[in-house]
Amino acid sequence: MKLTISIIILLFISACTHQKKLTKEEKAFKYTPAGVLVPSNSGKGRVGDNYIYAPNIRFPIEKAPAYINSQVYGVGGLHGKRGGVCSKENYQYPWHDNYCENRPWSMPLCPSGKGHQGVDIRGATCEDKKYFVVAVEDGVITNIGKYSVYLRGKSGRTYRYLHMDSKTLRVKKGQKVKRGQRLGLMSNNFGNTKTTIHLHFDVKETIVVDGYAQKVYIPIYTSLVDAYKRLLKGKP
Amino acid sequence: MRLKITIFFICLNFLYANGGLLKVDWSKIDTNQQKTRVLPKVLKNGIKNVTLPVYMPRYYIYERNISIVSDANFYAITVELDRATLMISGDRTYQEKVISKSTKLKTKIESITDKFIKAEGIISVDFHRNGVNYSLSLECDAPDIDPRCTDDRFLKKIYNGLVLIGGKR
Repeated sequence: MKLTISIIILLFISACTHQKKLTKEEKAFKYTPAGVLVPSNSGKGRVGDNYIYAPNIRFPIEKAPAYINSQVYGVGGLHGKRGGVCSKENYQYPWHDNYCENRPWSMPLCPSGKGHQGVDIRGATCEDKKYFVVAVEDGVITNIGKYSVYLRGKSGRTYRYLHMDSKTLRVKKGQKVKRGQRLGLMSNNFGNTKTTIHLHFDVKETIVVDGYAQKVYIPIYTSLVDAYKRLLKGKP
Repeated sequence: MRLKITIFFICLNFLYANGGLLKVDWSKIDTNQQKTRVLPKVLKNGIKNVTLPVYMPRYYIYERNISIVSDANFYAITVELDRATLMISGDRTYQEKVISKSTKLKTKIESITDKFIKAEGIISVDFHRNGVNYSLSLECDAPDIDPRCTDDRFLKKIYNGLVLIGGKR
């Protein structure tokens, strides 16, 4: 009996001491919960929904740090505080979910029935065409528009990447890609429309509810938090 | 030991695997529509193994700038128009299955079918036909000034002109 207890204690101590120390980046990473939109007048998110809809995807930006926050309600945004879009406030933790942020279009999974169908991600700094956007899982590029790239993953999900610089794209329609493969550089390409330097990332999948199947944009923030933690650990 | 742990997690993964294939309802499909059509090679080859009804905008079947990406359960056809990209895709796979206690979620999800929206400058419609899902979208190079993207009339016309061009039972 004594031996068993000693072994258990030893195993416990060993597990504790072998825990990998957090890196500086891991320690610095902070995020507000899913569905909590900032500022509070920017819309109503799915508070309390912590389900990871797209488990084990890779983070869509090649390297950390990157920042998830609002382009519209952030500093220098259309409804944001006065200041430049390159303000330091836009490039710091904590992350804020912006899925379901106020938008005029229909989104069945948003509490108001309308809202932003994806999340916006900024790079480490405000520099244009500096940060690589990558494939979040193995798949095939199904379509490339003026400012969009569509990746159909092996899971059947469709990942849509918007605003990359079209001249720096490294993929073609029909090309098979591997998880983590570079797709292009983050930019502010939105056709003739103005936008900030960021990646808009959204994910569509088919959900069957009581036998009825429909493609919907899924809440993706929690999956990205999960992916980012792996990226910080060096295991993207 | 490591192998045992791996096997355990693989089994666990299967238990929670949620995805699958939707059942195509072929009963209401008029296959005569497709028999009369002679398709360009790119489409003919691209859809030969697709196991769901393949719809395509009638006006663009013989367009030169067509490309297709497909597998047995999915297809995506892209038509490069002048300063715009038109895309239609069909998909038999699903990733989540939810049994909801209230009909609220189902009603919410049903409410978007056949609804045209303009999001991120792209006009699109998702629709459910013959048991499977389709998406049709139009992305203009100048989404704010191109009349094809400033309202949904252009895409509605294309949507109303979709024809069946193939699909293997």
